Order: sequence, then structure tokens, then C-alpha cells
Amino acid sequence: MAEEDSKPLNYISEVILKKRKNTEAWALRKKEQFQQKKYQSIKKPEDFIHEYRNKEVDLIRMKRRVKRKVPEANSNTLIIIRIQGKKDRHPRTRKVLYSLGLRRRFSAVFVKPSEGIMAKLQRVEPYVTYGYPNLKSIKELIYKKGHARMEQRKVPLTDNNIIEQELGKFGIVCIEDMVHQIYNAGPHFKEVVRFMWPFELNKPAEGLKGSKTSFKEDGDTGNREDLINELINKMN
Amino acid sequence: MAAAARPLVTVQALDSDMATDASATVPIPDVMKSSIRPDIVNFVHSNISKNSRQPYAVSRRAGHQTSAESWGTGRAVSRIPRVPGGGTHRAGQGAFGNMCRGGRMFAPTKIWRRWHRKINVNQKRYAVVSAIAASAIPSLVLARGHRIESVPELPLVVSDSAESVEKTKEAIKVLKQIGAFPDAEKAKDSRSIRPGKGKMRNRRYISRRGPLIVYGTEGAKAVKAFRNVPGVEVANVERLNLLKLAPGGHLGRFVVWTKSAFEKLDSIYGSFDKPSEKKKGYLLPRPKMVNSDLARIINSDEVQSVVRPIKKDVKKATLKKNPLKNLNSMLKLNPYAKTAKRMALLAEAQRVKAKKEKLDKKRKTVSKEEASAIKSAGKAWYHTMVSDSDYTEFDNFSKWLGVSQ
Repeated sequence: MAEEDSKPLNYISEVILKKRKNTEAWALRKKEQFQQKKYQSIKKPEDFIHEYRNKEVDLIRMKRRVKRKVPEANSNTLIIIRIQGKKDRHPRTRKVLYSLGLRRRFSAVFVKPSEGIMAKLQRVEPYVTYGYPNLKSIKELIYKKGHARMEQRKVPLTDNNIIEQELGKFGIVCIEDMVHQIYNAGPHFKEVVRFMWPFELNKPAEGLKGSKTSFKEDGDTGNREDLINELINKMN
Repeated sequence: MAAAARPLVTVQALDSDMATDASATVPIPDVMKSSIRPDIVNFVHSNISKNSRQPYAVSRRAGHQTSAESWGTGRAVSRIPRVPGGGTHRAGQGAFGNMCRGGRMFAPTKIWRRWHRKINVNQKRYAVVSAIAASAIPSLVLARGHRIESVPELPLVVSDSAESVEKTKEAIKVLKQIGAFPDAEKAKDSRSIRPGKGKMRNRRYISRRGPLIVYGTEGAKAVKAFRNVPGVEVANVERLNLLKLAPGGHLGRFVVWTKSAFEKLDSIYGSFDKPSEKKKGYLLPRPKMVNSDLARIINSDEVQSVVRPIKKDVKKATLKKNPLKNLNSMLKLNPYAKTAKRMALLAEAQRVKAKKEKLDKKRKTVSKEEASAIKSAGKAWYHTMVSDSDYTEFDNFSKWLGVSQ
């Protein structure tokens, strides 16, 4: 018979083995958590009452807040970060949050501060914080966390060709053009913002207290003006 | 042609046959390709062998042929019935009970037991067919312990002249010619005394089994010629017995077929799609899978030509690197980043250099004349400070201090 060619032995790389080990450990932990959570799946009537009352109170406060003067912004661009709101907000509040594109906690979007936007922000003030981003924050956010929305799919911005295909007709061919449009609130600001998926930021290790009070009153929410950049730096 | 569709078996010629150029061949009957079921053979053999039992039991009167009566209580002996009378040792002995000497057994056995077993006809046929199929496989016959090393072919078919053998001497010669005699010799050499009680129950000797001669012609003289050879058994092809085809329920009996017997197997057992001519409506049993080698089936050309080819170009999502840390990712998005980085590095180097020059200039040593000039200037300045503090020219201070001139 013909001699067999010498072949290297089959092996599994260390990275795969380590990943497999982590996956198994994670699965075990998840299983334990699920078993523990089984006993907490029953919801008591007090919890329902508490939840519904909170929603009602939220609506009442929103109606009162709307009667105040609409806040103003002194910048070309605003960044809005949702920091709260999971169970104790009214459906009307949720609707406003969704229209701003803030569907998840710690998601962020860029907006141009028009009167309509400021009115919406007034409605959802206890659940969001916003401020005036500088060029560094805008650049780092788009470079690191930027994703494109293509046919309802989330595509990471790893190549300028993605941007050129979608926004080439507006003269925007690269990621720097996007940064420019957002920082200066250029003529194609709206198209760029719609092209991008809302940013999904990390939970900051410190910097948020879990409070619904305004930032000016030592809380978390509302307008932070230029200090929003510190928060963005922590959450990026 | 029907014969060409099935494998052929050579008919072994004997000395008394006429010499022919081509040896005769017969096709293998379908019965030898049936599925082999050791479980059915074992079960049917166990039950068939019970049907030749004869009833037996202990005597009805055993242990009761006495008029024993108990002495009752008060005599310091147990209450077992005791033999009456006197004068012999027998008087006063216990009787009737199963623990007594000469008493009856516990629950005496009766002749009306369930001695025989009913076995379904289909099961019996399945077992016989399996045994015939197993006898055509050399490895099974060897595993059963038969000596078939010098046998030319299995299944072993001899010409019909073997059926006309009349003398045992000639029968042994036939066995030697076809290579079956070593098996018979093994059976003869293995005759020995039976271990156990069978020795005194008319079953004194045991020995192995040898070849089984199957003939096809009724009234053949070979029956008497072969039957007295030790180890050799004879059977008609139309009345094959499972107890001979699979002795002890073990498959793989060494069978010697005559040509006419072999040719009758097709009409007796039929085939997989044609019913038997002798057994009404009987078809050979078929397995669930004709070929259970699944790996071979899947890898065959017929299957692989239909199957869709392997998908080799698997699309994977592009992994997103962090451009703020990974320079290659940054350059893909912003080619100017390289220039900006270089300019920043150069500016930093320039700044460091300028600072160093400035510090070096300040740390330069001055000459001696300049040092003395600096020193005298300092001294003069010191004296000026001292003289200015006399306060003689300031009247306001005098009034303020309250000191009169």
C-alpha cells in the first residue's frame, strides 16, 4: 500500500476551549438563577396595586409638568440618554420615549433641539438625561458604538462603504462626514440620525444615583448641559 | 434465466459417478438467505423438546400403607401418627408425615401436570428456516464446534449417488471423500459417561453431534447405511427436525445435502415473494431492513448524487473592533487619523524639545565678574532697605507712634 502522508494531529485551539468552559459555567449559573427565580414568579396583589398607582401618579405628574414653561437648549445638538423607566411609567410616557428612539435603558440618540423635541423631553424628564455633547464625545460615540439601520437590521459601522451606499446621495461618504453633520447640526442631520441605530451604552460604574430628581437639584435627570460629556465618557 | 440470478453451489462428485467435464451446479435456494433469529430458535427448541416427555409421579399410596394413629397427648412424645403393634422396631415409629422415615413426600407429585407445549406453526417454521440459513454460514458452523476445515464448500451438496449407498463401509468412504469424516470422528471420540443422575436413568453416555445427512428420495437405502455411524444423523428434506438442525437450540449444524434434497428446498419453503408449494400460504420471513449497513447506504453513489453538496461558504457577521483602540480599524474608517496622529506626535516632540532648551538656558553658569556684580548689586539693595527704615523723614509716623522728638 502507498505510504500515508504525515499529517499534523488534530487539535482544538486554546481560545475555543476557554470559550467552551466559560459557556458551560455561564449555563450552570443561568440554570441556578432560573431555579431560584422560580419561587419569585408569583406576583402578589400588592405589587399590582403598587404598579398601577405608580403609573397613575406618573401620568398626573406629567400633566402638571406640561403646564410649565418649555425648557430651552443652548446648543446645536442634544444627546438624550434614557436612564430609567421599566415598570413604573405610564403607557403615554412609553410612547413618547419610543418616539424618541429610546426603547432600552441606557440607550442614547442625537437630536436637534427644536420646540417639539423640547416639549417631548419635558414630558419624559424623570426618565432621561440630556446635554450638550462636544466634538470628542460625538466622535468617540459614533466610532465605537455606531451601528447602521439597514432593513431593520443592526449592522456595525466597520466600513465606509456601508455609509456611502446609504447616504451617498446626500454627499455623506464616510464616518467623518456623519460626525460633521451631527456636531454642526448640518442640513442632513435628520437623515444621518435615522440612518444610525440608537446607541446602546454601558451602565456607568458610578455617576448615577437612581434618582428621578433633576440634575440641577442634585439628581440624575434633566439637562446636564456640558457635564453630559463626563457621563458619556463613563458609559462609552 | 432464473438460475443466473442466484449464486450457484457445486455438486460434489463421488467415485461412483460418471466422469464429466463440467461439474454440476445448483442455485442456492432463497431459504438460505433468510434472517437468522437465535431467540426464536432457542424458544422453539425449548418448547418442542418438552413435547416428548412422558408423565411421571410418585405413587399415590407411597407413605400411606399403614394404620398409624396418634397416641395423643400425655405420653411425653410428639403427636405424630405412630405405627401400631409391638415386637419390632417399627412399632411406635412416626408415619405419614413428610418428616418421618417411610412417610410420604410433601405435596406428592401428580401425573396430571402440563407436560407438553403448544407452539405456533409459524414460529416453528421460522425456527427451521433460521436453522437452515445458519447451516450455510461457515463461521456459524465452526462456532458450533464442527470440524469443517477439509470441507470444499458450504452448503455442502453431494450427488444423488450417495442416496443409493447400501453398506456402512461405503457410507464412511463417502464421508471421507467429501471431508465430513473428521466431524464424525470427533463425535465418536467424545463418547463419555454422563455426569449426574442420568447414568442410572437409562441415559448413561453422552457424545457430540456430527454431520446431518439430508436426503430427498423416500425409501433411500442411505438411511440404514449412515444412521449407525457414530455422530451421524439422517433426515428427510420434507421432515426436517429442529432438534437435529439446531441441537440444544444452538444454530450452525453441519448439514450434508444430497442434490435432490437441495433442489426440493425451493418448493418446500418457497421464496420471499412466491408462496411455498407444500406449506399452504407460507412465505419466507423478511427482515425490516434488507441491508442494515446504513453508513454504506448513505455514502453510496446513488444517494450522494442526489444530496445537495456541502455548504462551504458560511457567512459570518463581521466582528466589530473598537476603532478608538485598534488603529487598523480606525484607518479603515478615517484614513486621516494616521496623519493626525503623526502631527500630534511631532508636536509633542517639539514641545518637549523647546522646554528642554529653555531649562538648559536657565541652568547655564555665569562668569566671575558677573557673579561679583550680582553680589554687589544685592548688597547695595540690602543697604537701601536698611536705610529706608529709619522713619526720620516721615512726620506722620512720629505722631502715630506717639514719640516726641
